[in-house]
Amino acid sequence: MEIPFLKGSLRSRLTRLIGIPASLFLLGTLGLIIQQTFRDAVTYTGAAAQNLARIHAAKLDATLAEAARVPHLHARVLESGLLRDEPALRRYLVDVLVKTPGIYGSCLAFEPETFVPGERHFCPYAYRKEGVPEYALLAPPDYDHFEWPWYRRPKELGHALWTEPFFDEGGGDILMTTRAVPFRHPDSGAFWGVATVDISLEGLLEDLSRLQVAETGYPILLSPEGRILSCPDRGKIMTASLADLDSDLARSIRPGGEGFVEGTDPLRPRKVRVAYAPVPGAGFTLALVYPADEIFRNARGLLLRLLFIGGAGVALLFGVLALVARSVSAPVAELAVAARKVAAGDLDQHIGLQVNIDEVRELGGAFDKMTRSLRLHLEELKASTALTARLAGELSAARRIQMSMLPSAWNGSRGTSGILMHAEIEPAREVGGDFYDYRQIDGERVSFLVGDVSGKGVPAALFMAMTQTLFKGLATAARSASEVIAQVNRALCEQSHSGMFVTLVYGVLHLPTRTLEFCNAGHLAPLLLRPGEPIRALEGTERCPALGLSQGLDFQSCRVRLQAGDRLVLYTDGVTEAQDERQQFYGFERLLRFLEAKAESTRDPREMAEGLVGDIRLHAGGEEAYDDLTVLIVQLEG
Amino acid sequence: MTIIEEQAGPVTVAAIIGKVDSLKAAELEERILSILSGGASHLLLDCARLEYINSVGLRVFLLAARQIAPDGMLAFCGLTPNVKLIFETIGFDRILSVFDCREAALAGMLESRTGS
Repeated sequence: MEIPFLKGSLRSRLTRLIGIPASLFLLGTLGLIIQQTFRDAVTYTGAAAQNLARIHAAKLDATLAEAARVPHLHARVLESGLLRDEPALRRYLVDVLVKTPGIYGSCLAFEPETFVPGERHFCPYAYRKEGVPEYALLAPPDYDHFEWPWYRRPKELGHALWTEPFFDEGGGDILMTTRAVPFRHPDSGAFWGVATVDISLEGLLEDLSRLQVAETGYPILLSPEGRILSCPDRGKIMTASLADLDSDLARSIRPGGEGFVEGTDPLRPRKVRVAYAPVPGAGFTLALVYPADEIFRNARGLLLRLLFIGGAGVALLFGVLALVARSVSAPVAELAVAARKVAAGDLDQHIGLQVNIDEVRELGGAFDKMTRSLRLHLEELKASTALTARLAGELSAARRIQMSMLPSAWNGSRGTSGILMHAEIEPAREVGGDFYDYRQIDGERVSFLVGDVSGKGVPAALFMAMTQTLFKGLATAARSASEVIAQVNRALCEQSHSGMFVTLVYGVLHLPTRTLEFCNAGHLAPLLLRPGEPIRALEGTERCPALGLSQGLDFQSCRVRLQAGDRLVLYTDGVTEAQDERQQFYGFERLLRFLEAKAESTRDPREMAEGLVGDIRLHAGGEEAYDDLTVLIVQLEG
Repeated sequence: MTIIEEQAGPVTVAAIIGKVDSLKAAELEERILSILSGGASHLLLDCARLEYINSVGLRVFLLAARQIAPDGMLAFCGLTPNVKLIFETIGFDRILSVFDCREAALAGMLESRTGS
């Protein structure tokens, strides 16, 4: 099974199997760290901002509460009944104003005709004008206190309250707020009037504007109604409410509550976090606006550093992987190159791999060992090839010698006209045990023989050489065929210890009378081809044993008269026992059929012999010959 | 070619079965020589199922006859007509002891043993 994911070079596999998972793990870890860092930054900033908001809200509250005590004092004093006339009231008001810094003005407003009889509007007001205390009685048409909420609402509600901040129109652009406290008549206990104190918010707001919120953050002070009392953009002060600027943010800030919320900057288009806390006395809300990018600046710096470290780590990882892959694949590639050279036949390859990887080093060692042993084997092979070649050379020389012991082509000489002979011999190996001979013994006689040594190869060839030599030496005009055979047998028996023997047909033909004296020593009978007659085997009257069996055997020859035109075919069993691929013999029948056919078509013994050998080859096909084969044709001319 | 060897009293009987060509002759030679060198003095080669033998194989028979101990005996039995013809052609029947069947061979061999 092939898994595509696991295929490819070592480097790509390392990258896929180690590099990518490790990188993902690293990046995942970094991601978690970064997420946690951002969360921590928000938590930390939130807590700090919340604290800052609370502290400043509390400061504002304390300042306002201090100022708020004044009208309550007024109320106690008036309710005690100590102040009954206008001059005392004036002294008291101015005195308190002078002695209480931070108060811009203070007023006492009464119900109609309750302090000064007949006076409907009585509203003494002490205030600072360019630092100097002034005193005035506010009355229509300039001012009708009954129409103002600071008077009407405490009267209705029966308790003190802060008015919505306002710009003082008389004293320039000063943002004020008023604390209004109702008081009762000392005698009747009925509602008598309202004591107020005007507090400038300028001082408080200036403190607030100096408050540093992160780097470019800022505080916003909201009135109970959501109007902006303080923010960096002075144009928005008192003219806009938070809901006008940023309704989403306005909704997420709960008046009187506190929190740390996410939103957009009401003044600029950017993401911010807002911490807010209440100023309870006055019902204000102090909001601190933190630009998000400043909250996350540290986290972002950390993110950058982590990304850098992570990137460097991943790069390092891949570098190391590439290095590892190279340290494996480079020597392997080197090995591959050397192996190709070896395959191409260059065995002088030595790889001294200098690597630290045990497996690869081992591979290199094994490779070197392999080339060494290949070289050794090759040398052995060369030596053995040389030996084989030498033996083949010797065998080929032996074959030449053996062939040279056979007679050359018959060319009848003195007195031998009228006889044609031709022989074909095919050893199964380089040298063989078959042999033939023909010679002129004297002016009137020729001898011929075909023999077969029991065996093949070199031993048979040596035995054949011995036999052939014996015949050459012993076949003389003085001896008859049977005498020659008996002599050869005797000589062979003296030599034969290997169980070798020779079967042969030896014939001596007296040409003038065409009388053949022949001796068949255990061999296949010669075939007689006489024109006009069927082919028959020359069995003769006597059969002799093979030569080399035993010394004490008797050898008898027989005689037969031949006619002009007669042909004798002498052959060895290599002819009839030639096998085809199915181990079927060529056989005697086929031999006869071939000779019958050939006898009519040719009078050339050479053509007949070669034709027979060709037919046997045809039968054998590609099969290796098991046995030597020899054919000798003796032909008597007319 | 297979050779089945058995012992009949003092006579070692080796039945040669199948065909003996030039290639098998070497194996035949090795087997027979090992039987002889193993101490068998009386060897009967049963050729009843020997289908074919060529001159290379016959040489092994002759070799065996030369190797047999002076007081021993080598005999053949059950020659098929084919093999018998070869024996006669070559003249083996003149120098080797050939019997028609195994029983006759064993009897003849024992007789010659007691006779000697």
